[in-house]
Amino acid sequence: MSAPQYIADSLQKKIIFFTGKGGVGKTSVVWATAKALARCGKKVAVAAWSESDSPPSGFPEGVHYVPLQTMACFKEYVLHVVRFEKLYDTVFDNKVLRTFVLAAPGLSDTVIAGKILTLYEKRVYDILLVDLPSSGHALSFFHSPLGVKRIFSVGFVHKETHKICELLASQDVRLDLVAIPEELPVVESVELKSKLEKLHPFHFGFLLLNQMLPTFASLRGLSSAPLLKEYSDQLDRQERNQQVAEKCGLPILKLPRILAPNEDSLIEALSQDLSAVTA
Amino acid sequence: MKPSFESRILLVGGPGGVGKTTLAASLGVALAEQGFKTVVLTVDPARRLAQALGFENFPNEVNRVPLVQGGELFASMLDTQRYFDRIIEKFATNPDQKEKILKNPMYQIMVDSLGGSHEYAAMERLLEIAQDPSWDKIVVDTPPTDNAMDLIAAPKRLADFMDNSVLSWFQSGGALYLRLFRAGTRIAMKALQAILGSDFLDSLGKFLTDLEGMQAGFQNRHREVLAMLRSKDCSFFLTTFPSQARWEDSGRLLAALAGESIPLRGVFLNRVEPQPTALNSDVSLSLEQSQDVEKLLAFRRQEVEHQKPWTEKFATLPADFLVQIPRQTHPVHDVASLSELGRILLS
Repeated sequence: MSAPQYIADSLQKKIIFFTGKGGVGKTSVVWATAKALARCGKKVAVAAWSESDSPPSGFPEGVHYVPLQTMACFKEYVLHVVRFEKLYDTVFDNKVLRTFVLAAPGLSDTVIAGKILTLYEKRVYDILLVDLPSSGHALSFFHSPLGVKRIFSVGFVHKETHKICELLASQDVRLDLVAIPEELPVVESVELKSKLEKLHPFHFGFLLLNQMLPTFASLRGLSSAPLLKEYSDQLDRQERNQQVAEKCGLPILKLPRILAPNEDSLIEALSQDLSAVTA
Repeated sequence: MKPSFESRILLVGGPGGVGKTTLAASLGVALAEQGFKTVVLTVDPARRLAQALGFENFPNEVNRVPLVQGGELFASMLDTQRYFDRIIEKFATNPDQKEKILKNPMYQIMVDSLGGSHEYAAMERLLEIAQDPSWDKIVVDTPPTDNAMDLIAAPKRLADFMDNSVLSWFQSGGALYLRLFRAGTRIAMKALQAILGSDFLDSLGKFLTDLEGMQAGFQNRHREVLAMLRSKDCSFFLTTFPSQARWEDSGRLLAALAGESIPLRGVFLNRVEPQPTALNSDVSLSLEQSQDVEKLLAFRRQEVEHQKPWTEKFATLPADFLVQIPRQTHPVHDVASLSELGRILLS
């Protein structure tokens, strides 16, 4: 699988979800993809779970930032129905309700999914990349509309949840997994995919295998010095882990391990890598 | 042994994917070998590590781990769903209440999707184990959290949810919408009904009424957990590795800990790249191979340089000590390699 195919396919989508184990560089991959897509002339946004309104340091220029905050999303949700901001502030902006919204089963995930749905329906951006929290939370995020559907049989949430489930199965939406070529992350990706498949008829896209070691082919199999033996072993392990990753049944896109001095230059290098041939 | 390891409860925390589970297990092995009766509480170990610790089939039980060097080591893996059922059983005031809650679909969704139930269950389990005085050392592999705050904030949210002010909306016979109605906020009632649907409010009300009498249990436990975390009996160790992203994650976690007055005892800086050693001249190589060796050496040195500024930053943290753990050249999956790693941690 090549970077141009990945970018070309991404340009056809409206929403792309990214998930993977913590510490695999998922956010960097999302930002670099956003930058590469923006370079193709698209209006691109990255949505991420966040406590703050402003993008984190290193966030790429020319890309829009959508923080997903439960209370702000709940407010938008309620304003669909209430339509008076002042009324919301006086009635809903209190401690009891905040606690209720943050902790009521599935409600937090539902209002956040509702926000994503609204952005999609209003066509605010050409492409929205959703940086999901790591695997465990991502599973419960996708699970919650199903649970919520069971307990909300009428009302706005019920209608919205129905639409969310339709959206997740849509051709406009893709779900990508991010991993690194190490045992734990690839095993988790394979398990995650089989769990996700049971939840919704997703259109899975790619398995992005991040931080691949550089290959110096002539050194493969050498063990005449500690430096060489270690490197050969590392390559062998990487290859074995890649074989495990293939069990996902997804096309694998390999991304190099980039030793950049800071996040800005990492994103720049990674996005160049993604758009090199497309441009 | 460093004074930091003298605490009875050792919490190993940090951002996801830094090797917390492996380091917690190693620490457990090393402490057991020093003669302490040790238990390691873990959440979701990799399969081979689970096999090494011998608890693949027994979640929530305490299993003996056979050690080569001798010593008493036990391990226990947390299964949140099943453990949560146990919490309900414990706090339920009668068998009827227990049945009602476990069968309520709202409960299932709460355990599945309520942010914080993993963290709550982990802390509850720790409290249960800590009450058994026969353990000399309890090593806790904290649950992976996206947001470092969650470990402390999530159990609090759950306790808050059980807070009287929320529950009183629903309990003692009054449905939420009636109360809002009485308060004169007609439009709010209509809006909430339109958004959530009256049946949801009813079944949520029913669920919360089922929980009546249990909220005190939840809240007391939360307070006990906080008191335990702040006590001298408990030490917190940050596991991380030297990169900008992990530095930023760690900063958020430490700020959260400081906010709860939980001190940082030590830093385990994992996967530190060792300085590469150049080849001896007697290794015979082709021209292409020699060129590749130069490239490989350059890459290795670049890796070391890449980590250096972050290693230095972590060294400035106000902890009692920082241990650098060299990147392991082989995956750590058996008790012997856990023991080796554990000795580095204690050194």
